[in-house]
Amino acid sequence: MLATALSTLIVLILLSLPVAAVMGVLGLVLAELFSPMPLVRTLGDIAWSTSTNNLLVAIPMFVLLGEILLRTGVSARMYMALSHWLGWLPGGLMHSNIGTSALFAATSGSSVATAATVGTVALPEVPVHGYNERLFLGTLAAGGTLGILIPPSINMIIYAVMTNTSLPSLYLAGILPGLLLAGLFMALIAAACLINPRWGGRRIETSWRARLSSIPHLMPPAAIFAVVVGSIYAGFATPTEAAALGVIAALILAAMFRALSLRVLLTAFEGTMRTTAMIILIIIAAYFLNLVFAAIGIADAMEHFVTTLGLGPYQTILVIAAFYILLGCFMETLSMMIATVPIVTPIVVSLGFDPVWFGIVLMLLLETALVTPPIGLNLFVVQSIRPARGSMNDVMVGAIPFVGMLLVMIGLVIAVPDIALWLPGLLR
Amino acid sequence: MSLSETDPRKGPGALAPLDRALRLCGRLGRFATWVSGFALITVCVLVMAEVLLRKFVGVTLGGMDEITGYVLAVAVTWTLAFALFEQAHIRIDVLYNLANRQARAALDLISLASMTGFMLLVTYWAGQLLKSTLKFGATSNTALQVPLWLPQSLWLGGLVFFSLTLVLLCLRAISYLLRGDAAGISRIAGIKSVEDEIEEQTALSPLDPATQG
Amino acid sequence: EIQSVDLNVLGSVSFLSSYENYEQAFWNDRLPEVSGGRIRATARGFDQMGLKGGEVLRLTGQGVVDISTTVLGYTASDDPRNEAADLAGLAPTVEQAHAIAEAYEPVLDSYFAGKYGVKVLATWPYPAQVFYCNTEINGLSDIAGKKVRTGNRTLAEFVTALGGTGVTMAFADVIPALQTGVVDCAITGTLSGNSAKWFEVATHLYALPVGWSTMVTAANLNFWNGLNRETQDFLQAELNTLEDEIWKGAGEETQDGINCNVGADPCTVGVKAGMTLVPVSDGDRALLDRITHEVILPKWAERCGGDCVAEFNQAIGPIIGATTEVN
Ligand code: NA
Ligand code: NA
Repeated sequence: MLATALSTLIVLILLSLPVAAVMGVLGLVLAELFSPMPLVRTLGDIAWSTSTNNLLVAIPMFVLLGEILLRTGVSARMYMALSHWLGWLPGGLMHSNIGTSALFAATSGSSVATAATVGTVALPEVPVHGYNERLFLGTLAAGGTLGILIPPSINMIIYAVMTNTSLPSLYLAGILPGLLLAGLFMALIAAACLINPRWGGRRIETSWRARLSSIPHLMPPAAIFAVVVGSIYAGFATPTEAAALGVIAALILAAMFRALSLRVLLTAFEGTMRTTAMIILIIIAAYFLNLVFAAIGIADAMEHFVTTLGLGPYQTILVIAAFYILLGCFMETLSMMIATVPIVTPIVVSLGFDPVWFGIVLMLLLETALVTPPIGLNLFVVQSIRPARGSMNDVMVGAIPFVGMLLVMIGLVIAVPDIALWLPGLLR
Repeated sequence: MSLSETDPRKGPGALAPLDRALRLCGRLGRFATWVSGFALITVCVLVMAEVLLRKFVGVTLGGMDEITGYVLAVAVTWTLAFALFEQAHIRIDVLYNLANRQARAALDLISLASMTGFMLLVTYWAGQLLKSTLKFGATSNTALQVPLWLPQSLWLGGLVFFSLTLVLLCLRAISYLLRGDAAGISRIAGIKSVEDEIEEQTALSPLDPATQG
Repeated sequence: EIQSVDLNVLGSVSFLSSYENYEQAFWNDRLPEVSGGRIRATARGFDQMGLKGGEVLRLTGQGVVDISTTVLGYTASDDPRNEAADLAGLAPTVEQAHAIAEAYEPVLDSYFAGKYGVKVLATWPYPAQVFYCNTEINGLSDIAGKKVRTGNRTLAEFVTALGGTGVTMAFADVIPALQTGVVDCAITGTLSGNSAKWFEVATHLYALPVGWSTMVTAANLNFWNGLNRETQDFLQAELNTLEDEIWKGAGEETQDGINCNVGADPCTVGVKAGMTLVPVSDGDRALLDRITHEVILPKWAERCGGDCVAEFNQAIGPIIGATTEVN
């Protein structure tokens, strides 16, 4: 069964089917082969309940927020400001990519929205400064993943629901690993560009005057972070409502910069719905595939496998991590969470681990899944916004070194749980 | 947009209505995208009102989360066709890039056909869902008691529109196939070309001097 | 003799303890054992399949699974009859809830056959639904002016009738909302609130049961009619035994959940916490009774219509000692 599933998946991918069709067709094939039940009849209910899912509403909100900041030039100014601060490092603007991603992640709960926003601002700079395009694309796909680790985070919201873990604790726990991971990404860029200086492009000219005068451009993201995250901690809004407040804040900021026009709005809508429609369709297909997986017992087989290994706690965590990395190559992250979290989290907690800590480990594993080929949502997003479209391979290859850094970070959080638990511990 | 490249003058006259229908779908899709955008912003304003009223007045509009869900569902199905015309539906092109023009056209046809087949199934079963909603007279399980046929038929309408667009595209692709025009197939069903992208991105560049404060 | 069958079963929410302790143990272990291996079942919670619960009866009728269990209240979208046995405040004790569910089961069965194409096999509850508040309350009347998160229609009406504001939000949002004061109170089971660690953000537990999340177990009608008499009787008898166990357990687990939340003994299933238990006065019981009969029942009757109300009065009326009517 597993072999059939895997080989069918690979064939569908090689046929270059649209990702939603890959998952949908795979689900239909597996249901036909391995289930006596007419699972296709669930398609209508799955499509309806997925597309009205209240937690998914945060996705278009965060994408729209990003689009407004993008189309009104707020993101570009923020990117330029950071380039004055980080551009002198070996690798130039690629550090701004990571820095802007981290900053934008603090306003957005979605990795997809983060990659799309920062990517759209940054990509036109590749030919201007002569960067190694693959590495540059990798920084955008990888930097974007910070969106679900640095609060707010849609995936943390879902994990909190499914495991009854405290969301505010999770949010606090994500901050340090998020900053550390951004640091690791930047260290990787610097190292790569020191070894091979041609990759780093032409140097960015800057001065302290330019740096200081750029500071006001960093204020808009700070204001939106205050609205989106502040409204949650101040008892104003739920995390889903906070995303909507963020959109309003972005509109007000854009109006203050006198950058708001009907044309800008319509372009922002087009960008938002293009991404949202594609992503939600993939998620609908992924939910259906997940239902088929559950029905034919693939999830049970995996659970059985993990529990019968008879390993010690840390060995089990490592096996679980390896399993997620493998699964993450082929599955979309939200459906991956839905399929596995109810099985895996009880195992982990019963071994004596903190569910908040595991939530952070899981976020890092999901971030890895977002940038591992062949199915990686962030890879697709970055590919979809490239001004001069090359092969999908460029993005995949460029992201691989960053997968290495994600693995390092996962190892660090497993070895030193306090990286995640210290901050929430202060508030207890 | 790739469709604007399908020049009806080059094809047999019988195809002109098909191309007109496709162009109409393209325009309708874009219009639906704009409407969806305004609907999203309206929802955001309502959510803000809900939050402020709840915090400072102690009253609630009620059911905002529910309405937001309906708006998302309807917005997504009505903009799927727009995403299709923009070739936003991502495909993994590992093998595609190694293929020659004929093989690419074949892959494009298979992709289009699989997407069409999958969406026809989704649409059919979504129709069955609406049918049982009507039969049950189902209303939402909240204080609002929204008659569910209302949002569901708007939602299904989007799915039908998307499926119809896909079917029309399939027909167009088949007409190219019959003429042995591989490039034609890839033009309407292929992975987005470099030229399309440049044209689109220059429409409103974020680093355009005009948007620099 | 008993047929050899493989059952595809959809159970209730898999991460709540009652699924693991009762349903999963029943389908996956006990049934194969007592049937001498003739009846084998594969059970999984509907949440594991990515379903919401409200579609489960429809899917069962369509033959997607053979047998399923779901919370009746989740399916109230389809028909107001589905919430009749679990209207807010209708059953202040587990005994009353049991009696109501048992009396209403034949009503459900008779119309489920035509509506969904399923056969009703059993009904059972979760531990009682109670109020968790992050602010001091001294009784039911203190809900006035409070923002309360509710999960379904009838509870929302109940909160409104008390003068509070019913707030709807995703379950995910409840903990942060309680912590930061977006809502003052939220309603859930004594044990599920405990396992969800709501006690970390809520201070006061008001444990007057306002609902039981009554569940229904049903089989696809064609599948059921395809079984021979012995197999039907065997399955029905086994499910009846399970039903009794769960009802008995629900009473104990309701108390266990209360004990755990307020740090009292015995606390065997949950985690001990330090919430304040708000005593339930006779006045509160009278208020609950009054609201149920003067607000909840008439509103529901209006939704459900004449025939439905007549069935209700006949089945449940004698148990609650009251009837209702469409105005
Ligand atoms: Na974030
Ligand atoms: Na991946």
